This record gives sequence, C-alpha cells and structure tokens, in this order.
Amino acid sequence: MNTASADRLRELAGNMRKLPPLPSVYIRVVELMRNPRTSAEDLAKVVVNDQVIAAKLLQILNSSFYSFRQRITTLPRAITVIGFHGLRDLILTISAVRVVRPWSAGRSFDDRSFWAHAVGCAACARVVAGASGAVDPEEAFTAALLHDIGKVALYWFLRDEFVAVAWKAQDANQPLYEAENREFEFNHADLGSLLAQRWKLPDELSDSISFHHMPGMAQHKKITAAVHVADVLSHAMALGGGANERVPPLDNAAWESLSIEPESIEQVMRHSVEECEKAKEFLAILNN
Amino acid sequence: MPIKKVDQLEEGDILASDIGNNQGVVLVKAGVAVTASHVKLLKQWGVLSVQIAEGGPGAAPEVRPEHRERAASQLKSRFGDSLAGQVMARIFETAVEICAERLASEEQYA
Repeated sequence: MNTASADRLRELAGNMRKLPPLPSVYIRVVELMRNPRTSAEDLAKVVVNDQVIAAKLLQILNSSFYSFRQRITTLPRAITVIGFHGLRDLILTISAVRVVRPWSAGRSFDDRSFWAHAVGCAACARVVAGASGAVDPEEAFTAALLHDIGKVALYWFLRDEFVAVAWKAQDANQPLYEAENREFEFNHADLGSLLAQRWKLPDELSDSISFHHMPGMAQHKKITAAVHVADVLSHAMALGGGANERVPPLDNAAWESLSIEPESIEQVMRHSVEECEKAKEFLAILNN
Repeated sequence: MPIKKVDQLEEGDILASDIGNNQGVVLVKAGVAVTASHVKLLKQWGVLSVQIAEGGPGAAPEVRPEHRERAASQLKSRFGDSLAGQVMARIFETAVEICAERLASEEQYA
C-alpha cells in the first residue's frame, strides 16, 4: 500500500470513532455475559429497557424463520430457548440494522439490494453451517448478514468515489472488492474490520467481516469459511439480488475445511433458496 | 386467472404474478408454490389478495433446453474465471438448473 492510501485508511480509522456506538442494551448484555453468574432473568431485565429491540426479538422468534412449536411470549423464555449467545447475536443484528440504515440514505446506494444480498448470504450460511456441522448455524447467519457492513461505511465516508468504483466493477465484470483494491488499495472488508473494532464485535464475527474474501487469514477459520462459501453460493444463485454482480472465486481450503461432500452441493443450494424465502420474513421484521 | 384472498391460500398454490410490497420490493416471485411462511410474509406486508395460476397446486413449469442455454450463457459471464475446479463446476451446474427453472416459471406466468 502506498503512503497516501495508508494515510487515508488511517484517517478513516480515526473517523470511525465519530460513528455512533451500538445501543446500550447490546453493550450491557455483552458485559453481563462476561459474568458466569448472570441468569436469563438478569439479561431479560436489561433487554426489556429497549422496548423496540424486545418486541422485534419476540416477533423474530415467533416467525416461521425459527418455527418453534410453542409461541414464545416472555423474554426469559426467549433467552432460555436461544441461549445467551443467540440473544447477543439477535440483538446485534437488530441494533446494527437500526444504526447503519441512516448512513445509506441517498439515491446512489441501493439499500434494498444491499440487505437483500445480506439476507440471501445469511440464508446460505445457515444451511452451509448446518451441512458442515462444524459451525453454529445461527452464528453463521448473523456473521453473514453483517459480512458486507463495510460497504455501508465506505459509502458513508467516500460516497461519490465508492459509487464510481461500484459502477466500474459492474462494467468490467469484476468482483467489487477487487475494483476497490485497485482504486483505494483497501476494500469494504477493511472498513468492516474498522467498524467491527469500533463496535467491539465478538472476534468470530469481526473475523468473518474482515476476511470473508481471504478466509485463510482468519483466526476463526470455520465460521469465516462458512460466510465465504455462502457469499460465493448466494452470488452464484443471485439469491436476494446481485444478478449483475460477478461471482467471487472460491477458496478451496475454506471449502475443504467445512467437510461438505461435493455430492451435497445441489441439496445445499436448493435448501438455501427455501431458507432465503423464510429469511425474508426476518428482514421484514427488522425493516418495520 | 383466479384471485384468492391471502387468508384462503393453500400450500402449493402457484402465484401467477410477482407480489410486491408498497416500496416496490418483490416479496414472492411469480411461479413460486405458496408455503405457510409466504402467507405469513404477505400478511405482514398487508397484502390482501393475490392472483394464482390455474391448474392447481404443484403445477411446475416445464424447463426446456433453451432455458438451460440462456441460463448457462448468463451465468458463464458472471462466473468468469471463478469457474475453476470440481466444486465450482458443480456450483455452476446447479446454479444453471435453478436459473433455468426461474426462467421457465417467469415465461409461464408472464
């Protein structure tokens, strides 16, 4: 990276500090989870303070995306069913969408396509993780939903340049991150990494945001591999959109690390299409 | 084409046209066989009625060789040199089949 690009990335890292933090309910839940004596009731008392998050949480858990047999009507019950990590990840998803949505305001960013691809990739990641057995499907879903969050940050900071690069990538039939690397000498995954640091995201999520194009560089290799493969599959099927976008190359070592038989690929892809339909309900709840 | 209230939809009913929300986002595409989760999604977005295809539940459109050819040609350019190795070849084949099914269903319900 040349000096000017390095300076620019450093400046962006500084500017990240000006971005809003995640809502206090997320921060408090993460703090409480560090204490082994924390109970579901303790967490519920914190979550109930943010009525919007609490309501969306229950709505999502009662949607067909989860298909629980019995209705979940209280927060302690919800936390018992999805576990502490599941709670943290759901609050993170709801919070992140709420915080970044205003950043993408403006006609030159296709907010709908962005979230449609995020949901398509998340649906694939859930299926890929399930087929692999090596990654928690719900954690993979959250990681994949947020994997491209750096694009929104890049748009926020470098609006016109980012839009021009996105067009260039499409015209040259090139993956977006390659076009960004050529133009800026960094890409949306680097900005995602800075945002993950700003928000103090869990390491496994931060890794899958930072290294979804280079899964071999991640410390949390399995979850990053699941997100990487899901990104390839969702682009291949234009799941949730992205019909004009180039399919990124597959990292074979990442694929092999998931131990999915090549014979299962068709099943995984078709199942992902069904999951994506269910995940649209999830997105509708986040958007409402 | 018959019109059904969302409340009266049965699993397997085939949608005759794309169903969009008030922001123009397509929620469910034409040719899709309705599931319980679609009904829930449509209700959530306040959709009251939809047009369904004649011929009853489960009438899948016929995928012809020209659908596969069109799908393969579209996808070849999007895959570019990412189409390398046995795993990507399988992903490509399946993507072509899924895309051809979409094309056949769009044609049938256009």
